[in-house]
Amino acid sequence: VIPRAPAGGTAAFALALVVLAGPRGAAQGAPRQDAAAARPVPVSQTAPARSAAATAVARGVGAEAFRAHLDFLADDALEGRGTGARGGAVAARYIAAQFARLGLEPAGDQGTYFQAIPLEGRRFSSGATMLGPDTVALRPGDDIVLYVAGGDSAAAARGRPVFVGYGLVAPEIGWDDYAAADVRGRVVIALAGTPAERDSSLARRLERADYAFRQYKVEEALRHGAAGALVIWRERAVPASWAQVARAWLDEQMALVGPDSAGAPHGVAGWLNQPAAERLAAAAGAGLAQWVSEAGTPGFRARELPVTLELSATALRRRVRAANVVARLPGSGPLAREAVVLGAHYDHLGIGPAVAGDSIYNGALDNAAGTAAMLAIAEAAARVPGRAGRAIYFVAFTAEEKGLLGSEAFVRRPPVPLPRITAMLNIDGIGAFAMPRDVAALGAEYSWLGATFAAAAAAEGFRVTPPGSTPLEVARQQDFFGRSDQLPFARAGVPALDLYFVADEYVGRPRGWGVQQLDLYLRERYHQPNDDLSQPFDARYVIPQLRAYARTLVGTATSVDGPQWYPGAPYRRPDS
Amino acid sequence: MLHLRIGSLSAAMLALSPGPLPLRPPAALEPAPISIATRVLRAHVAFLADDALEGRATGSHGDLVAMKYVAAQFRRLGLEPAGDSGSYLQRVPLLGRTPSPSLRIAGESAALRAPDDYVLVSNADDSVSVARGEVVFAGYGIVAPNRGWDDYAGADVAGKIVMVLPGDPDSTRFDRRTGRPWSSVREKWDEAARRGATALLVADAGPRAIPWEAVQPLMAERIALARQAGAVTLWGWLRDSAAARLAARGGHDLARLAQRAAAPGFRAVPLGVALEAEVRSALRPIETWNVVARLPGRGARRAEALVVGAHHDHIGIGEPENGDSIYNGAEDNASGTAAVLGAAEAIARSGARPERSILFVAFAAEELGLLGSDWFAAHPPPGTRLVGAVALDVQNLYGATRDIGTVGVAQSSLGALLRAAARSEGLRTQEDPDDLRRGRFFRSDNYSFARAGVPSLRIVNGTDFVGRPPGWGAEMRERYWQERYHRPSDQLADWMSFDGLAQQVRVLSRTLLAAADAPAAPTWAAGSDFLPLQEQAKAAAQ
Repeated sequence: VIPRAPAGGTAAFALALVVLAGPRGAAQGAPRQDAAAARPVPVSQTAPARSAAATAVARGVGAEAFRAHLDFLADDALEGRGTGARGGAVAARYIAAQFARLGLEPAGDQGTYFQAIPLEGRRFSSGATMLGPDTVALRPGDDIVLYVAGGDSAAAARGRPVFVGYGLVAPEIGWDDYAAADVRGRVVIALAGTPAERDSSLARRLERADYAFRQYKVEEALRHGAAGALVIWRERAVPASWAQVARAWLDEQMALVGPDSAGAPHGVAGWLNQPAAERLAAAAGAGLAQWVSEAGTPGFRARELPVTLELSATALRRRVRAANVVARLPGSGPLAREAVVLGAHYDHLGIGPAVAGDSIYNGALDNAAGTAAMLAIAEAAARVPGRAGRAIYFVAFTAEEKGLLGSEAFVRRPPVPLPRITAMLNIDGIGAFAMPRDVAALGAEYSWLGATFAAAAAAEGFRVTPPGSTPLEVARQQDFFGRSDQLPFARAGVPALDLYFVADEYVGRPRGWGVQQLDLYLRERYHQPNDDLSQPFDARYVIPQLRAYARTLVGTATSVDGPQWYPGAPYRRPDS
Repeated sequence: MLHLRIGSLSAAMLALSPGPLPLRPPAALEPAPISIATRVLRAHVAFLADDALEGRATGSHGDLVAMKYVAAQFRRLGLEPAGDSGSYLQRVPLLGRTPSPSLRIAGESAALRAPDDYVLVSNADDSVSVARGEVVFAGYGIVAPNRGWDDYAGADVAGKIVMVLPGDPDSTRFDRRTGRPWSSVREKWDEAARRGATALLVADAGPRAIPWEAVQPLMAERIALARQAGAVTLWGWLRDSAAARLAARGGHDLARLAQRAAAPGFRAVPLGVALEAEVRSALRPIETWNVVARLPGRGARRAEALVVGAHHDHIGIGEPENGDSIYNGAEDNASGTAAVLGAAEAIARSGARPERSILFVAFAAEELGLLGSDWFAAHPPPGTRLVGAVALDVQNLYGATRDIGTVGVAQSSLGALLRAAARSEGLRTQEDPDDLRRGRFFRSDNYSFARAGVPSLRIVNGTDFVGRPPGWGAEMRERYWQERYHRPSDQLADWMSFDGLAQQVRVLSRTLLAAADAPAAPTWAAGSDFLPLQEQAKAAAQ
């Protein structure tokens, strides 16, 4: 899971998130939990999860294999599996060796398991001046951070900025902050967050998970022809502190290049700190609080500000070599031309600032464990010959921590045309806190996949985590569905699940204990060097969950009808 | 595969057949379904020989990754960890020692000069090591009861400094095709240490003298075991002129001593002169590990263990050739490591649970002098007695054969088990006289076990390849030695085939299971020059 960072998922710093118990109105980009309520699901979605093939694969998921892969991938020798780093390359080779050992077909480039993902590391330097009654330089790092959006080395913009409120275009609630504005060639200024911070009833109606994010706002602005876009950082509206935001953007960022980044709009973009935004608002005869109030009111109209901004940014660029690792287990029969994907990202943060003398960010839970789970399921599936149904692609994604780059590139250059990829299941984190009584899949409410998952869970003796329970509310607040590799698939229209690692109830533990564990993890280990093998990964707790995942996978691969998004889900297949 | 080292002897040796050793009837082979997929073996070699592992030099990150990979495979197969404190890794303490020696003939005012007159290095872990004592000339320093030779007969060298000649006096009598590498300096200092000598000096004189320039590199850093047991404290070489001066000081003529040493019945000669030696060493500790897993025996003999091992290290990154600086070591010895992993998988999946335990080991630091296996043979897992060992080093990546090669098949009862295992796979067993002549028995990890008295052998490549003309196998082998051995081109290639390696793994697995289930533990053949070492070890254990 990438930080819900204002860097739009490109932050590589540790972000401590405080988990709030219970639903909260201001959740941003909240998925629509009610979409799944009592939807009819064809029986073809549930029976295959209980088929003989699904049972055989589930039984074949081995504790030794899971533990062996986990121990290797999370070892200090892997140096935190940084993207473009030595340890990341070793991890990729290891995964490929496992695929080869299992006799899975190479499905990467030129008959190999590796799908090269060319990346670029970028460090930005910038300049910003506000010309008005008083001319002030905006200090990079203190007042502002800027970067070059798109693949160019430099970008600049000058002129009177346009304040566009939240910079939101959400037809599902009849909202368009650009309706009355012509921002072509201008600098756009937008608030972080969404109008749901004022009207919580909107939260459940907003379709896209990423409306609150910087990246969405910048892209929307540049798509409207703006030359620059600034997002205002405010206390509480953005989960990360300004210091974290600034540090993230002063660090190297990674981005897709070449065809993988085609269509990315170009411009100068960045964050504006709250005090600087107050000065700007004051120059326009208002205050930031007034802006927030106006921006959240239906019918808000964008307006030009009576100052001139000069923004420029340049990028120091370097090439970074990374690769997804992709294997194919062929199906058979009439569905064999179609495919399902089981994915897990294998990258983590690499080597970083030492904490308590430890500078290796092992990423045991995030996501050596998920990769190990994917490999263990692959082994079980490979040992069941002659399974009917769709091909299964096992994919270890790179550069998830850099902003879902590996999965984004995979979706842009899939080994099978996207319309033939019927589903994607993602594992990011494995719950080994204790023995769960229930299991959850994020996104279950969006598509028929939820029913397959429920049947698979039941076959392994699990309940499905009840909608509205605390773990799912936390996932909604934290927008976990928008923060891992299932997102690019869902956005491309492929029904997807994020197999979630927190349960509502655990054997022998009080209710709420799982969320406490998650809270502890997020506060004390998430993106820290101690996300390592000192944590328990008891196979007795892990393997039953993996068996439910295996059944979901085989069930999805063999169901006659491919899963459909529910009407009203925030994602849909592109019209074809 | 280890480089021939200084002190090994010239290649040309005359034939001496020891006569056929008695063949034991093959032990009853469990009809265990022994199989291994070639893709598994290829995957192991592909990973271990990948550029990402940077040639697996001892102490390097790439070699550490290789060890972790092997451990992960053992874990995956459900084998017990048998390394240190519940892990698969057994630490092998190494020490780089760069010597600054001083050596003085007692009573002479001028010290000898290194490296013009001598070289001297330490086996100890201290930064200063000293040896002072009378010098005894012990001929060639060889004790070989089966060959009617004992250079130490009647001599007391305890606490003294032994001077010997390099090589051996009679390549017919000391035929290393059937015996031990008596000519190696290591064997000489083993023997001197067994007799309590504190230092061994090889006088670069006599018919087997070597060019002095070949000796001088010993003054550079040398990586060897720390906490080395059973070794002389100091060892080195004396240039012929210095040795002659030493002998003369005691009233002896070196040339005449050398002549006497070549004759049967030679008796060691106290030279009547003392040496004062001191070596200051710059010490550099190096960390490396053996990777050890156990399939526990089910019977009362589970404390007895068969070992199957292959070294995981290679030589790392070096001089580029054709733009390639990574010495991947696909054949040397990703192939052998893959064979050990393959045997572990074949045996684990067969469900066989033999009487004795089987230890699967990836050895460290073979390329530096069999160091990991040396340590392992002296430090088996607690409560375990090693009773037999099979080592793998440079295995068949060329395709299926009709025969299987061995080194040491005639030396011990393991050989008969190997022959039977090969037969059950439809393979002839052959032993190439050339391998023996080149001393291959002594150039890999099996030798560490032999030196410790544990019956051991190697499985090497056959020469009769299916679908290839006669002579093809020999030519392939020669090309490996000429074109790829210890060069960046020793890497995985598309033309390689893993059918032959799978055959070797099956034979290996059957041999191990048979040895682990046989009523009696393996023993050296009657008349083997290693038998006395096994008997010594047994006596020491009681």
